[in-house]
Formats: sequence, C-alpha cells, structure tokens
Amino acid sequence: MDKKLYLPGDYVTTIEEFFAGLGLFEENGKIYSCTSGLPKIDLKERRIDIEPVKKPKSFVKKGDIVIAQVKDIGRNVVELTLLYNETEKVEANIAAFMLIKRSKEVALRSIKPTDIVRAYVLDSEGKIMLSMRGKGFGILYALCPFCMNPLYFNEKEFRTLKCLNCGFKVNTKVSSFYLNKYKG
Amino acid sequence: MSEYKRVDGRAYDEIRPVKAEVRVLKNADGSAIFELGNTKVIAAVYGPRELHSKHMASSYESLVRVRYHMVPFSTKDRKSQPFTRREIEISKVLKEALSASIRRELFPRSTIDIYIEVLNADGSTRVASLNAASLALADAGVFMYDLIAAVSVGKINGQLVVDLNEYEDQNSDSDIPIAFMPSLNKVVLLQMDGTMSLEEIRQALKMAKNAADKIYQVEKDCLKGSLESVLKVYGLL
Repeated sequence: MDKKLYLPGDYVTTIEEFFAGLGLFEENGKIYSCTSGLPKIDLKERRIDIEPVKKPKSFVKKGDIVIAQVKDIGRNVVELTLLYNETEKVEANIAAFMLIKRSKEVALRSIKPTDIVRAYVLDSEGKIMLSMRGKGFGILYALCPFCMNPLYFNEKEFRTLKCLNCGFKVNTKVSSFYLNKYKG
Repeated sequence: MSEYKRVDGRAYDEIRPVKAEVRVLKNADGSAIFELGNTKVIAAVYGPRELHSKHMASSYESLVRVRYHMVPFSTKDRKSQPFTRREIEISKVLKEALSASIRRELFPRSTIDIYIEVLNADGSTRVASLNAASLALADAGVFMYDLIAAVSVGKINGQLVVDLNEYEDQNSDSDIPIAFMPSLNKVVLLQMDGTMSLEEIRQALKMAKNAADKIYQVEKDCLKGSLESVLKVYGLL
C-alpha cells in the first residue's frame, strides 16, 4: 500500500482494518480516497491518511497556525480574512472570526482593521474560530492609525507598539514574531 | 438488427477518441482540457476561496458556482457572446451534478468557482464539460467523492447509440446525457429529451455505464500521469 498513488474515488481499505483519516471517507463499510495522494499509515493507532499531492486552497483544520488580516470589529467579535495556513503551508482566502471579551471601543484601542495577526484555529466546524492566546500569537504587523507608518515593537516595553514617526503608542497583544522591532 | 449506420462509421456502443490533459492554465488553481472527438472543452477551477456576497455563504458547506459558456467561434454559425437561456440552464444542471461529487462540508463559508468554456462544439458538450470540470477539480486538490464520467446515449431510427455527435444530436428521436461516479456506482446527472420505452432506457443505461467506464479510465490515467511526474521530481515515487 506504501508507494501507490491514490486518486479520488479509489478504494483504499475497509473499516475493520483502519480508521479513515484525512483525505478519506467511508461508504458502506469501505474506505475510499477523496483526494490525490500517497497513503500514510499509523499502525499503532490503526489510522490511515492520504497525504494530498496538492493541498486544496483555504483548507484549515483545528489546531492549524494561520496568518490573518483583520477586516472588521463587531460588538464582541473580530472578523478576519485568512491569508496563509502556516501548518499546511497553503495559501488561504476565507473568512474567520475571533471572539473578544472586551467591548468594541476597548478592543479598537488594541486591534484595528488592516492589522495582520498570527493565530491558531480553535474550531473549523461551521465558522472558523481563531484565538491569539499563547506565546508567538498576536499582532504580526500593524500601521499607525494617525500617520499610517508601520508601528515598531521594543522587546523591553512589554506588549507596546510605538510609531517612530509621530510617537503614538498602543498597548496590545504582540506576537514574538512581530516584523518591525527596534532597540530603544 | 437495425439497418442504421452512424455517420462517422462508429459501432453503436463506441465512443469517439477521448483526450484529456490537466494543468493547462497557470493562473487557475486547477484546470483541464477534455476532447471527445471534435468537441473540445476547457475548464478552470478557482478556490475554495472567500465568498464576497456573504449573505450567500453557508456555515456548513461551500457554495459551488458554475459558468458554462460557448465561445463565439465554437459553432459553425457565430454564436452571440452573451449568455443564452440554454447556457444558463446547463450551468444550473452542471452545478448540481458537480456539487454532488464535492465534499463541500470540508470548506464552510467559501466558494468554489468553476468556469467552463466550450472551444469547439460537436455534440455532447454538457457531458464533455462535466468530465473537464471534474478533472479540473481533482487537479485543484478539492476533496471529492469520485471523479465524474459522463456520456450521452441517444436513439436514432430506433437504434440506441452512445456518444452522439452534432449531426446525431440534431437527428435523434431522444437523447440522455448521464453522469456517473463509477467507483461508488452512483448517478449524478440524468436528463432525457424525447421518449423511450422502459426497456430502451434500461438498455441505454447499460450502454452508458460501459462507455462511462472507458472515459473514467482515461481520466484516471491523465491525472495519474500528471501527478506521478510531480512526485518523481521530488523523489516521492
């Protein structure tokens, strides 16, 4: 089974032998491939996956790390557009959401439309929900709302972004991978 | 035995020469060109991508949009550029057939756009379009239940024939375009123009299944050839 290339609709195995993982589906007790790729077998878990040769665009699953751009901020939800799926290494172009506990006015002080964030997928069933909790997650790139110059991050000033042009400062959740850093 | 002889000398259950190729367009996520005799169709797939009329989006599955169009030079007389009623109707039936083969629940709130252009029309354009679109979807990496193999069956002078060309299409008493998902033994499109007896329909479905199996094999060989060349470059096969 190792080196065989499977195509959509190809019979792979039966449900008595393996659990159907990624790229597979069950029909009448049989497991079929739903993508083109090579099989990956986990004999310990008795699970079989088909590793797609070409991953579909905008494919995200729970736990994936993604890069997204903020589109809009609602009363307690942030609407984003996914740009890139870092885990699957595929381009994405799909709407996602992130819940915020603060009011819109308070949230707008720390996150605003056009900000680019690094987050992980909390849920991909139905609406794609993201979260920025944890180290490495947060804002990756932001512009100054007054002069539109890039904001800079000083690692000494925890959670603060600063505009080197007009001096604007904002306290927010900054990713450790923030693009523009300065030593001050 | 019927006296009817086909205009191109084919046997009643013989299909025209089939040719398929994937990755023909660089900018599309998936693309394919499919030839059934002189009928030539190109299909391009974009997505799954963000849906811009967001009120149309479903939280549980992706939306499939299909545009079937015949280019003005595809027919003997110039076909006008704007969409005709026939093209709108075919776009709708193709959308329903293709939707049944895609695992739409894996791409919620997104759209998969499929553009089909008939470059040369010589009968059976809707079945050729389905075959081309199915290959383009597989090329785009969209998760699907099975490839679609579609073929038309018709009745001319009381004789059932498969894969009608334009002359046969215009002179047939009835015709049935039919699309299968052969591995799962499912039918995703079945239309009929004209009349047939129940026994004739049974016979027509049998002939269509045999012809569809041949088309399915061509589609699989085409996809396999394309993917194996990629895998060999990376040393994975």
